[in-house]
Amino acid sequence: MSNEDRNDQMLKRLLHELPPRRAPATLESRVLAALSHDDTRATGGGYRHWPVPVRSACFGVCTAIAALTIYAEASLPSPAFWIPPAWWYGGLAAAGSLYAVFFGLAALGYHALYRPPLNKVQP
Amino acid sequence: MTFMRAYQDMVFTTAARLTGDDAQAEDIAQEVFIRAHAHFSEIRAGSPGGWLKTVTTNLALNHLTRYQRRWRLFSDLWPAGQVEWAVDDTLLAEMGAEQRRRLIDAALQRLPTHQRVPLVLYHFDELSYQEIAARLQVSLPKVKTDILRARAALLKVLGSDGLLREIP
Repeated sequence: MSNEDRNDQMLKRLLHELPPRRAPATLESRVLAALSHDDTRATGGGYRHWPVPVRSACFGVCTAIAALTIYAEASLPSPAFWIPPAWWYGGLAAAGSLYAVFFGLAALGYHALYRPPLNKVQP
Repeated sequence: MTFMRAYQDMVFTTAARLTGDDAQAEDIAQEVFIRAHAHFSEIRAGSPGGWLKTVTTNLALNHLTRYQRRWRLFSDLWPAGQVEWAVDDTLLAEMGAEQRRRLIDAALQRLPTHQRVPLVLYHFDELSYQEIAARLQVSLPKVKTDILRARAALLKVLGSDGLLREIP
């Protein structure tokens, strides 16, 4: 075996047996702080990051409320004759606002009641 | 956090050996765990160690990419060092594992980037020459030459530190 081959073998063995380095003690706190910052910044934590059952439930409830509203409106006598147009616009704006409030409340409820704290995440 | 504690040494080590810089390695490790948190359900279902190692390697290489043009230039200009004599690692073998680890890691950090990166990818990430060539977007002969030179350079550094002896 040539000197070069012997040296390569020795180096391969040395590097292969090399244990990992220890991560700095600050790494864990840095990661936690960054995650916490991200959570605070992205209000609601991002709808697409919610668990599927929670997303489905939220979508289902919102759809049910919309369906009920449409049904209630349809069951009333034709409103075009007795509701002034300005009321229509106001009603639409109010419905939009209520929908946003409802969605916000759902996000708040999810964060407060369902989502586990970061330091409880397990593999 | 059990998850992070189980893998943080591996992630940090991978980043530190590739970048040769502890501060950059810590930044990269932080980014890796933030991404792991975002994809936690997928990672948990598969192989967390493999996922973390791949993402760490990719981020470290991305970080180094900005120096790639300079890297290629220096790589071509760097003299081909050779160690003609056989070396003996008795001194290293007699040390404690942690002390040996510290000295070899310090020697790795002293290698130029264009030598350290292919060497680390080959020996620690266990990538083939072809895979390294693809990752670094350089030719196969160049990867082989760089790794050969890196081994010689590492032996020289360890030898100059008195950790290896020439065998008569």
